[in-house]
Amino acid sequence: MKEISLVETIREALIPKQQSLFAQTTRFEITEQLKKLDSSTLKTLYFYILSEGENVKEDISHFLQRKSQSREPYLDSLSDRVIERIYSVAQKVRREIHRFKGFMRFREVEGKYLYGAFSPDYNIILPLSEHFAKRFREEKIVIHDIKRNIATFCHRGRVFKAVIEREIPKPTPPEQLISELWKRYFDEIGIKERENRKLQRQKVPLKYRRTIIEFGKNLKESYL
Amino acid sequence: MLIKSSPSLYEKLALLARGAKFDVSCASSGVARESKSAKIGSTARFGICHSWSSDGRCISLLKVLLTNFCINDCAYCINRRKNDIDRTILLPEELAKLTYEFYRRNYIEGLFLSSGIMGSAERTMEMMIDTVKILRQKYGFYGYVHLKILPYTSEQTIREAIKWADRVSMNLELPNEQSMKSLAPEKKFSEILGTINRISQILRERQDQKEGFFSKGGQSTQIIVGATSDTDYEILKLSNLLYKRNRLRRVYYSGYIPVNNDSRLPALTAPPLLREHRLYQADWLLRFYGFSLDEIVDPRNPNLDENVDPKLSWALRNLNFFPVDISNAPLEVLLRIPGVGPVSAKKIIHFRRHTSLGLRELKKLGVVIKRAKYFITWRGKPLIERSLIDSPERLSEQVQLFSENQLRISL
Repeated sequence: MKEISLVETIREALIPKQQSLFAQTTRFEITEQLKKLDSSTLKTLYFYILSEGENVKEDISHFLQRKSQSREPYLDSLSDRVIERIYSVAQKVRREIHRFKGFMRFREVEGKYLYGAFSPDYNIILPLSEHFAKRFREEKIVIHDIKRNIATFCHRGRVFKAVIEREIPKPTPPEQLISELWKRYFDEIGIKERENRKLQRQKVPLKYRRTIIEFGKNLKESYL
Repeated sequence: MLIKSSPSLYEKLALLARGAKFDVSCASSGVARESKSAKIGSTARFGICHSWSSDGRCISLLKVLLTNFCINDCAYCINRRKNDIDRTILLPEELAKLTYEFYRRNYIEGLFLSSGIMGSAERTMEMMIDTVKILRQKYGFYGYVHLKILPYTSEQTIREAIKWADRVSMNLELPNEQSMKSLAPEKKFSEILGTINRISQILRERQDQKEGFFSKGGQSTQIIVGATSDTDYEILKLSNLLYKRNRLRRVYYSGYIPVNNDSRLPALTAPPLLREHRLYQADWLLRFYGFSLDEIVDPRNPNLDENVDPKLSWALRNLNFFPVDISNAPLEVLLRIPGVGPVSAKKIIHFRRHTSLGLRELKKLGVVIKRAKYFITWRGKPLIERSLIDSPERLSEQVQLFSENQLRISL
């Protein structure tokens, strides 16, 4: 995401547009404060917002206040509990985005759409969709956060917010074959003599497995 | 559709995955590419893992053989000529299609294609390259491709492979001429090393190439551990040479797993996983911690200590180097402290100018306190009771108690 849209996104999370006129000056001030931050700090605040934690607004206000006292807030992450929380939670969000770049599974459904359902701890559907929109430019992709029941449509590098109104279309004829091939491959590639289920559980936590097809017992169950 | 018309595809894929699984490399890193001319695919600088198999190894690439037919008879290999196993081949078009279909469902980050040798190395390599060309051209695929270079391929064909792949590798498997002569009689150590040399030259010539793929992810190789009596010193000496002279990105170590009955091979009850783990740790010390080979192993102590990790082992042999004062030690000295890595060392340097660092703060910066605390001071003051630092024997005992004997393997 570009810096300017990060600034806007963070500002909107702090003071939504529909608030009273009274908020206009504050909106302006906050924009100015945010513009002074470098892009990695802006990203940290953005990811912190995606965590949907209880104190997001207060914590970011605190952060901006510390920043206005002309000290690099990152340096306070050892002594200031709020700032420490912002950095450590943002890091968790960042990690979950990275994980789902790998764990997301798409199935081809009627109409040649690729449909992917997932259930993340944090509200990461937008940054994740940007990744897939660029990677699968020609595809028509629907990404569905089934925990929050929100969705996006991605095509040609762009991401649109979407609403799932009807039932998800049926898988196309080759879908079952391809996914069965994958599962067969997955079972085959593990080396018996080196079996290490504990390490596997660390790497692919049980909470994520429901939407990762090679861990589901059969297709229906794994896709819900 | 091609895939639909082939009912035996399950069996083929299973066989060819079984034949490929002992290759440990699965990295999809080293190349960041996001191209608008791509129909499909991108690569990420640090790679992306898509799954983890029952052995806890990451699955990033579709790791598969083009064929498990082979004219060679390497003692350690499941696909050796003598073995009575089912043999098959995936045609380039089938394999390209399969990769594409897996990729667009986000099962994988790309393709890792290796092969047994059918007919001649040259002919087999050409079919492997055909597969990649179909992927790149017909499917507009810009995802990651790792191509195995087969021994005794012509230079022209090697150049073509490099052109279409993101990373290439040629497996040494054994660390010297003698071992190779005994276990892989059809191959010659010096010639394989020569080809690795040639590949690194070609990669160097091509490093500024802007267009296309040209294996910007460099070259890697693999060495089997525990199939011969070769020492860790011999293995690491070779790795060190490959990193220094050939700028290899990675040397992979593969703990030997007996797949064949052969009198030339040791009878192992379990693969030497701990030894493999220690070799990786030593490899990291060579590449990221500024250690030289003879600080880790030498001809008089040719094997790594399995009870203590090689960095802690070095520290215990060099107690006069410690304690290190973390308030002012330079990066290369910080990196010598057990429990401090490249990331935490850089954080220490960043924070110490502004803040006083005690055990609590160091922990937050990612330092492993239970190891590091014996070896550090802050502005001259120890962070544990003085007596330990003053008495090296007690210190050594203490540290040994804490040394990890837990085995974690993750490539």
